[in-house]
Amino acid sequence: MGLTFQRRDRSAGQAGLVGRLVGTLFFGVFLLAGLVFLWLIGREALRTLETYWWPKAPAVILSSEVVDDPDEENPYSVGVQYRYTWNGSGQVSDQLQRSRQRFSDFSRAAGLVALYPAGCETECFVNPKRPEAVLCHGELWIGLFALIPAIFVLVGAGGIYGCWAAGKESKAGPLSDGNKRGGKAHWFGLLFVVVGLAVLLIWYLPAVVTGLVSLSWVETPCTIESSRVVEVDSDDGKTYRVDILYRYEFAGVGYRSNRYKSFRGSSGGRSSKEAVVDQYRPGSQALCFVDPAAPRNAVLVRGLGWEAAFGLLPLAFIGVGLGVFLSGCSRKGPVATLVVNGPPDLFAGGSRELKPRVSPFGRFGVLVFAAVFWNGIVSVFLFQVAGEWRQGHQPWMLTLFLVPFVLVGLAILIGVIYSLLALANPRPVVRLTPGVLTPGCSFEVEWTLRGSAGRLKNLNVFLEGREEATYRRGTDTSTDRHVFARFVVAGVDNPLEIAQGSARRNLPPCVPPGFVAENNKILWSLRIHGSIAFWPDLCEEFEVSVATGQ
Amino acid sequence: MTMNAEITVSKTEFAPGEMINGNVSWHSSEDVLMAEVRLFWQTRGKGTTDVAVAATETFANPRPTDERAFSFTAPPAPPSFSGQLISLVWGVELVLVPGGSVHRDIVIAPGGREIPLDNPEWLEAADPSAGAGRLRFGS
Repeated sequence: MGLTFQRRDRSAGQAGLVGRLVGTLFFGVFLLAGLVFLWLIGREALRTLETYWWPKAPAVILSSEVVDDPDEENPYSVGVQYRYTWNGSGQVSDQLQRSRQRFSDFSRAAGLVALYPAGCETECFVNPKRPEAVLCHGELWIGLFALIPAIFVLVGAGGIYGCWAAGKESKAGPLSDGNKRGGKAHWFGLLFVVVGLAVLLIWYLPAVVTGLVSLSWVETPCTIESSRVVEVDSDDGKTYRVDILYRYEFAGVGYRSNRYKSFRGSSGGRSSKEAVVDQYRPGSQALCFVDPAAPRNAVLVRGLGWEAAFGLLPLAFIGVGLGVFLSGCSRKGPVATLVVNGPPDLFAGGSRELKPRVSPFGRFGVLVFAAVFWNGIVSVFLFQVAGEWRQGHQPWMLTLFLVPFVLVGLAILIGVIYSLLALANPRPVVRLTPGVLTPGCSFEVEWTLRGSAGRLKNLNVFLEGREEATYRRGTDTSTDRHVFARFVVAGVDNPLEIAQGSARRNLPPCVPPGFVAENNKILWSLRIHGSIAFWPDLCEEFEVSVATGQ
Repeated sequence: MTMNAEITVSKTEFAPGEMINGNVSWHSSEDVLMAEVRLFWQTRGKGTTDVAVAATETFANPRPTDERAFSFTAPPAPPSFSGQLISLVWGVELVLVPGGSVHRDIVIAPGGREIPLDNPEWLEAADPSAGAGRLRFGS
């Protein structure tokens, strides 16, 4: 019998080239932008690093103050002047660090000024190659920000490589339509986790701690020195924040601060910030709350406020990222594996003890971790909301916003309790003969229940075959499952047979063998199910190998 | 460029271990640098496609217009099957460089018949885990 078909290919080569060029242009922008920012940040980090090798010289501080530049987004900086001696001659410098640092937080600039008061004798670091000195080295951790453009560089370079590498694969026709592309996409999940954790640890948790601790800070009268709305340029246009500088006395010492509340940062909506600024007119008296352990720390409004709800965003980032990463890691390599004649070791003994797909302790551990993590974060907001209700406020928006998160937390807790109860269930030990099943041949299942088997009212043993198809929809990866075969191996209700027994049956000749590829699977498993009155049922699943038919 | 290609196979259904014999012919408007026949499988259906090459035969000194014979042994696994979510399809593919590729579906399975997964006789009882995840109070 002859089968013929034809295909005419006129423009595949041209379209492929255009696609690659467009892709190269697209990823080239990523690469270029990443390289430019990598160079800028790297250069700054190297300039700072260089000062660690500069020799020391004695210095005297001539003047030192916080400089306020209202036209800047971060208006506060340190203005310092000092005299130092180098190679026998006196020099004057006004350089604190190699790069001028600006702050939105007055107290950070004030903290540096306090380190170098006028008249103080100290040491500076002198550039041996030219007349230049710094009082302190600066912060090297800023170099970590180079990781962000580095990711752009990786995405850009990887994308360009992918454009041209994919072109080579296209020679393989339908084989190139496979899902080799995007096979490493789950690493982007890890990126989400890192970003979420960074935001959570660097920005969110310190602010939450400050917000909660500030509830016990000391109420202190203060005088407003200046009050304004600062415009901040961001990717989405302009955002705004209030900048209210106030002075206060604590234990006989004068301090200044511009911290309004525990959460810093800017947001949209100028009018709401102007309303706040109107409440704190320059020269007016107000109340601030001072940390008695570190009086330089103070806020005008204590507690968490509605911004605390934003903490759920990094949490969502971490959850989504973990999901993507773990689902990607759990998937096998691109080449399908299947049992053809069965590994020799499985047949050598004639039978083998089966392993459960998920151990009850593993399931319990995962649920406990999820419950602690999720409810730990959500409880911070619950604490805040409850406090506001107790004080007579009515934070309806935050309360309604929290409801779904609390419900999810409760569902996880119920899961923890259920899996905890299930730990007390008897453990089935299952032996299969032969170790690998063959279509058309018989097999025997032996089971022994360890633990209180007498609690079970019945026991059912099934051999189950199912299809699993994993696919991507947008940025989500989903897996659909469908059971195509379920063979009853045993069904007993005699207590003696429940505790220990065996059953034999034939596997029909035409069933498919097990098949595991990266995205598609045919899985066989033995399921044990036992009913327990007033308790979670015994329900365990064991992996089974099915070879190709004879 | 213009390419005409043709694959002729002795039949479309094979049992594992059987010989898959056939011919390929092509006409290309450009010089052909590489010509190859591949025996491969791929999945179709809801899941993202998985593919793998089982055997390859490369033709030496291919001409712009040419005809060659090929021969493969049908591998023992995986068998062709068709389910609600996944189908596994075997195929023979001719790859020409430059030019592209053409392919033809075949069946490799015990008895030469694709395994259907929608056999109602295989579902013998209700799902035992229908109540899993819920507390049951007595039965």
